[in-house]
Amino acid sequence: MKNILTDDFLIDEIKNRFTEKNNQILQLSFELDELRKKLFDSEHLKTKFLSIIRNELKNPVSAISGLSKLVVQKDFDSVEDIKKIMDTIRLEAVKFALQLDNVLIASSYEGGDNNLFLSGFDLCELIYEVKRSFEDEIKSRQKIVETQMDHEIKIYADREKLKLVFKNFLDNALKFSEKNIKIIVLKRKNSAVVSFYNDGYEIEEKNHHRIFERFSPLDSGLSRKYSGVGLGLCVCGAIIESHGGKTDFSSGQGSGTLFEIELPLDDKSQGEADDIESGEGFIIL
Amino acid sequence: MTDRIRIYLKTGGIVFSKEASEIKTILGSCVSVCLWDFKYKAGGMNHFIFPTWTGRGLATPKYGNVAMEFLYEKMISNGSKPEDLIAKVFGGGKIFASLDISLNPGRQNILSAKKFLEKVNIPVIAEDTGGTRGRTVIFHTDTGDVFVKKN
Repeated sequence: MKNILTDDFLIDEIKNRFTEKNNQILQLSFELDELRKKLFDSEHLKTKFLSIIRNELKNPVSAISGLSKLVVQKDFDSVEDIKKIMDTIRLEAVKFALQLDNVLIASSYEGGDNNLFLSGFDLCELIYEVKRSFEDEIKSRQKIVETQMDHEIKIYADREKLKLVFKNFLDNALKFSEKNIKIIVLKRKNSAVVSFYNDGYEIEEKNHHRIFERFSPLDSGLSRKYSGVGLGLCVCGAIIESHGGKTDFSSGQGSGTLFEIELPLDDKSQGEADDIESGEGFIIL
Repeated sequence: MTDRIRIYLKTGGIVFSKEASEIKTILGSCVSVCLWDFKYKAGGMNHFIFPTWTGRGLATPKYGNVAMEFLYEKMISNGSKPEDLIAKVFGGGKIFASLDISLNPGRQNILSAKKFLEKVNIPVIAEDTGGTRGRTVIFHTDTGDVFVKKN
């Protein structure tokens, strides 16, 4: 039988096609709106980042360059005076290096470079090393840092990245504590737990969700009391997560703040390296 | 025994090493390509989840076309010549057997890698792809050897 194209059929067909195209346009406009929102968010984030970074990275550089100029130009009476200035320069440089490390690690994680350079080492020794690197700052801020740890906890992890994590936690503890900081390292069955306790002010519950967010220093604006880019804990969270560990914290009125970092102790890669040596289950290509 | 730097390559990551390294990764439907420079005895590896970046989100190396380009550029910017490079391709398993062939992400990932390698004229000299099982892949960047185990 021959199909006859009636006017009604053609109108229906046009209507269907129109509805289809209309839906496609709606979908595209929805996607465009999503993109616009993302662009707006990223623009906002960029502005926020630039404004924080302008102060946090520029201030130490200005201090370093100003103080160095002073050392070069001024005639000092004693070597002690020069030493004092040089020590301030060194402390500013240490602060700057930590902030810069955070920015670089954050950008490499966001750029897909989340690889871990694994090696076996003693976790307690690393904590001591980090504490030693802060000794001058601890003294100048008149804080007390107490450590409590097992003799040796062998861990298989990226030493440099974990060092950055512990530096950030100790730096935060020094900033926010009243006087006392306690670092406890414990070995559990399959994990190691590193706790950083400080007797500083309580983190309000409404701010708990912001703790590990990017560029969200808890005190912002003109009344800012503490320095920081607002990247430290976010970077720490990402590094710990990439090790298969987790970070937790608790903060209560009058009892200070406690951060707990749990890292797995099992060394899967070691086991498989042994497998390669014995050739078990592997084919070589 | 060579003392190699041991690196765990995570999903969406890229590793290039001039020094003798042992790069390890675990694959399901994801694909990893090992590029090796037989002249400089150096290599790199990627690990991607999706075949192509479609313009949504950031163009990170979790997408095949981005990951292949990044890895290739890393090798070239470190002094490798395209004619000195060889490739080995791994992964792309069909982990969920019920998936329709057109939706098989593993297969699309393999095609994405091979399409790029063909474009830049790098020969694929070994591969262990497809199937229904995951793989552990370990790449020795100094010898170009790749050890594969089905999980």
